[in-house]
Amino acid sequence: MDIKNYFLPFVAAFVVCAAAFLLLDMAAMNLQGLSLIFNQ
Amino acid sequence: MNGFRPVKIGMTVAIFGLLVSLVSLALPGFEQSAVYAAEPAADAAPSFLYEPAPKLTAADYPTVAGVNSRVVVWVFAQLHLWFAAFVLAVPIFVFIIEVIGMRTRDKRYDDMAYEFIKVSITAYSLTAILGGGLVFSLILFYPHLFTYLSTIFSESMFYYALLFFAESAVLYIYYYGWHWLQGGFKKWVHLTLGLVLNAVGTTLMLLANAWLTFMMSPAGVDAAGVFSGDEWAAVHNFLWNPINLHRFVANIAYGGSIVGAYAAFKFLTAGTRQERAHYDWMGYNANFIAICALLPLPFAGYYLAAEIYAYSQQMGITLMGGIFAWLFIIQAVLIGTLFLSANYYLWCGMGRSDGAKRYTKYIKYIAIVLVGAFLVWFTPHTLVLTNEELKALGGPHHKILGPLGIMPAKNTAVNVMIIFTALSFMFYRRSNKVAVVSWEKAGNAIQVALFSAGLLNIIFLGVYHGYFTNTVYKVAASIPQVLTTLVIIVASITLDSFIYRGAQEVGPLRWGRIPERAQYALFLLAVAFTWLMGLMGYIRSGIRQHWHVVDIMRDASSEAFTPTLGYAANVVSVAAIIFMALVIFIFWIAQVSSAKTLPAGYWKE
Repeated sequence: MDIKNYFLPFVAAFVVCAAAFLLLDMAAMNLQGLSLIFNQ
Repeated sequence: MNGFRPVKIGMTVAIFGLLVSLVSLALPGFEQSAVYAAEPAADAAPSFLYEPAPKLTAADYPTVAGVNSRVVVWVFAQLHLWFAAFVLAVPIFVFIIEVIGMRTRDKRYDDMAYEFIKVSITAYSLTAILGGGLVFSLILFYPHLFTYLSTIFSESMFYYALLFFAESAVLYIYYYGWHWLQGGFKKWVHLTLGLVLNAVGTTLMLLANAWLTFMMSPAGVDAAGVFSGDEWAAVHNFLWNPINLHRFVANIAYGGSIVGAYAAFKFLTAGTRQERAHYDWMGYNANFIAICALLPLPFAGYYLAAEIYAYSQQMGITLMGGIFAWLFIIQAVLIGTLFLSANYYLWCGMGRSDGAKRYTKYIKYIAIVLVGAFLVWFTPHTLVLTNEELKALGGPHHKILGPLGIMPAKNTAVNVMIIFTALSFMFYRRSNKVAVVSWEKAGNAIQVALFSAGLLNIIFLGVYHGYFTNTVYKVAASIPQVLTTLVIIVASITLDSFIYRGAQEVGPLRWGRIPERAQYALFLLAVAFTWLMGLMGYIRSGIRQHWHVVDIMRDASSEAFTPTLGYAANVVSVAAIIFMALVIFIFWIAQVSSAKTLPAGYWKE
């Protein structure tokens, strides 16, 4: 596998995308008055 | 100059229509709320002018020739709606295709747009005939309901009639003037006519939507059904905009599927390679339109369902938790069919490019995911079981598979299907291109990371909230799922456009090089859409149950009960067969309109 041209960009982009989606989840749930993690 | 005759007739009709409209608007009796002009505000209008909603008995429903009045109205309404959806949608994408043709100066687009509108012309007449049939059957079989509704919506019904006239006039000029209004300023005039046609058509739809949504979520009336005199309040009722949005998007998808079927029909009957290539291209564009509208359609549907719940929890529970819930299983099967057939057509279409081989190895994985999501989508929540099966299972719900029957799992499935359909389309777009940018590998890695992270997020939201949280969280989690899907689609298209900037083409696309079985996928798309609209339309209307106008005007006829699902499905299926027969007739008419016979020796030389 081409580590420099493929694997490293994949890992970096995955981390960024995962963090971005997590923030999106939190924002969308907060706007509805809820937290992302269930809280009874 | 026979070609100009229809244009002249069309223009005369249009001018006459406009004059009638202007005169009618100038007359004092036609002014909006003229009756209440002296009142300070609509809310303060004297309610004693209007009667409460009538309280009917079975004797108030005429019996004509022993026919079942509900089925007659049902079938007329359904047939009218199918044709109306088609004729309202076609001018929308014809307008867009005409714009593309003007922008690219590629005459093929103009020819295709003309052929699309040609198909809709006969359908337009049928829409009007069936609309007349619906009105007559309502007056005959449900006279009190029709009187009550026409009292409240008198103005909008009047303007509807005028707009219908204007729509006919503009459509005829638009169609018959197509080849006359070509080039330079004339083309802009023609395009403007297309815009006017769409504006009038959409307004017609909005007005008709107001009448049917009033029956579901009445407004502008008191608890006894006494009209306040404010027609805008009745029009702008709670469910009006959710239905408007859902129907607008669905009509485009439906129109795309019907013209796709037309292209498939023409492809299969084509006599030359050129014709096959043309209709293959036309079918591809029709499928593209249908997919573009199909992708946001589930979200518009969820918005409508959420608003129905917000308006009346009882109505919402009847919709998805009561007797109609099983029809949603059929809905899932049909929508799954739509996604599978649209994807299948795309995969077959990749054969037009010699460069597609690079991507065909991934198709089987996309198919597996689509089928998996399809299975989740139509998994019922509560199973129909015998006593022995119930005992063996420990209840009506399976411990692990049970949550697949509720919304978080369904939402996850539909989002996954949408994302993989977008992926199919991305592969199709890439199949004939070779990227030239130096960072192509890194770009692809970012694409894979985007899709992977997004899909994991959607699955996390679905599984976590499906199994471990309460209903409020389950419903709320659908919003970030939808947003994730939108982000993936928008970001991946943007990134792809950068990766393939200045890309080389593998070779010319070979239009017409597609297996004939792909055309049957287009037929399947049209049939599945038709059946789906019929069944879901029945649900939307059926959730009123024994009410003509919910909580205001009770249905006292002998048919005021919810029929069995089998019965309803049979009525819708028979109506769908009638519709398809009429559509085949329209295709045939379009075919014979361009056929010519030269009878030797018949005419004097």
